[in-house]
Amino acid sequence: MYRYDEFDAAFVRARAAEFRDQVARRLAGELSEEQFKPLRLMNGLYLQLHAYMLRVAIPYGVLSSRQLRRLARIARVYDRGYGHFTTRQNIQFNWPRLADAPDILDELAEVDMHAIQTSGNCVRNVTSDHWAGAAPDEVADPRVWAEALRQWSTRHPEFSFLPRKFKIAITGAAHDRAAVQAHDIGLHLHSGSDGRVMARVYVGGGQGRTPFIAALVRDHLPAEEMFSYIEAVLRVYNRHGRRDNIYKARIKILVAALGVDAFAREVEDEFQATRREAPGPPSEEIERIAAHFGPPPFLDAPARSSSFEQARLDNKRFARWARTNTHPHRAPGYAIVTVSLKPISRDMAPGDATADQMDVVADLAQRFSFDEARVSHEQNLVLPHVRLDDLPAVWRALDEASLATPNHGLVSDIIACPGLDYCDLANARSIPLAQAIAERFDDLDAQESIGELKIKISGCINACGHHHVGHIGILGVDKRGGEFYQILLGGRADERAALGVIAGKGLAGEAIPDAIERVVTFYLGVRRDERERFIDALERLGPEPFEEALYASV
Amino acid sequence: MWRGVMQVLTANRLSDGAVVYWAGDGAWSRRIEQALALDAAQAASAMAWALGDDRVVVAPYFVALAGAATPDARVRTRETLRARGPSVRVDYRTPAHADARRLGAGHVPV
Repeated sequence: MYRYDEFDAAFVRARAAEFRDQVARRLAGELSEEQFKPLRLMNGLYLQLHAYMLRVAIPYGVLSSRQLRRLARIARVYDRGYGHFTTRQNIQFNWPRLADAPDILDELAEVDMHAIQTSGNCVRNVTSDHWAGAAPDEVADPRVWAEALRQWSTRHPEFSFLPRKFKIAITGAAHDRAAVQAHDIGLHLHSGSDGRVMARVYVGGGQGRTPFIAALVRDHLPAEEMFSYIEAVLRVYNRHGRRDNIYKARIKILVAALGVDAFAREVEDEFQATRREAPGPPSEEIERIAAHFGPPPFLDAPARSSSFEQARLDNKRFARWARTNTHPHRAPGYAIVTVSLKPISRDMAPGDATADQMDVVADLAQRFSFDEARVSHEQNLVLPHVRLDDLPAVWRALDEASLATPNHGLVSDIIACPGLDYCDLANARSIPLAQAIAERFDDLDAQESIGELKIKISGCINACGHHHVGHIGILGVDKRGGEFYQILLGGRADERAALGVIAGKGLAGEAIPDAIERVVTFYLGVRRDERERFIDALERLGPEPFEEALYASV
Repeated sequence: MWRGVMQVLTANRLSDGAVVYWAGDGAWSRRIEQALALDAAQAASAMAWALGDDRVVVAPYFVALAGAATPDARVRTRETLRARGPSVRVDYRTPAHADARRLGAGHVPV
């Protein structure tokens, strides 16, 4: 894992001290709210529906056990005993007091963390594949480049006041688990003909009010040139981006307005200049960063584990969890473990973890996963490197902590934004709807039989719940003060990214579980076999019959 | 503000962001039931107080009422949640409602 150098550590401590002074001046009445608001937002502190919310950056979703324990401590000491992991691989604390915010930032700084650039019109936390360094289909480790991008973008003077916020995602595997084409810039690393690491560059993706899948503007960019190229993209954006209209200010609108070819040409012209003026970090610096992400000292283990196989035979619950929540690893004898934060329960929201649960995962990461945990944009946690022999012990500990719901990628593994239960922008609630749908499909056999199905719920048009790229997307809308939900069908966020299409009129919240059940039942009736996933059948047949099923009895 | 409609003034407390309601005489309450229903003239005066009270509250605005301390239908769901706290867990509720069971379906239709 990457550790801050002296510069990083000093800068983050200084920012925490600066914010302490600003908070003191606000509480003393020396700063007005108008003066203070931009300062708190620069430190990730929002004012939401019921309280302040602190959004903490988790760079590319990677956490050490020490960092995860610190997040647990913050939840316990300064909040209400839980945190919410987000679709941007961050964590949000929903109840901090203003006076405590500087102490929280100090605590974060002690473990190389902060809340900077989690708000505002700047380059936000760079997100990545939560299986980085572990996935068998990985060509290049995206964390190396994500960390270099983090350093490059942190307090970058030219890009601190962009027309709007700017999100970069990067993956280095054949299968895109980071939804890169749904970002302002998506980088998909691949191997060039000469073995060099190349980047496929997508620009102008994004969800929100006007969703776009990003356009491919460069297919074979040498990875070390990504910094100059991204600078060129941002300069073109800074030059032409609409600052007069917040709804047209994202780069996706600019790309659409100029046309992809014209935009790409302008970027290319700019790139020829920036690669001379700002050639990016030298190769030694990339190598220095890469040294932090070398493979952990895997044991020379056999590909099969007899103790693991025996445990699967002995315990059906463990066997089910192993089927759904463990995944092949690039190292023989190891597995990737998904820690589900989607219990089928009304007691926890999707993506929430209690302080105790965070401590459990931190302990497991330290003991069984080379001290690493990850946050996925699908709002689960990951133990990236677990020996097959250790899986029974890991499962027992997770099960005791209500963290072993065997539903990864299934119908109850629902992305849901905080929605109107917490968010000042939302029109409708997301969490109770996700809980109601999960309860409807609480039969684990049925869930497994349905197979992969990604439901994504947003409580408003800002689309934090990624509803545009859900196999089934659900958007909360306000209708005369009541909550209604529009359903979208056929979106996907992988390497074949697509936007879902709106399926008919909105439905009241209580009608949604029935509607989802009808469309799932329809799918089960038309699929060719169990290998044809929901999204495959929908793409084969088109959305119309699914839409008819959705509204069959409305 | 909606002229001719009774309304309450609400804001967030500076120290912790908690939802509060104008209860008159310079006082803010955590409970919507204690909010003062205001006509247009009273509303202007209350807002002037709130804007001058920015060491105590931030982001004040009016909520129109349909009945006594009941938010108008146009803003009902949002304001019901603001008044009671998140609907997802009883222990997340605001103190005045922490002992309540789940919100009834009549309040929020999910």
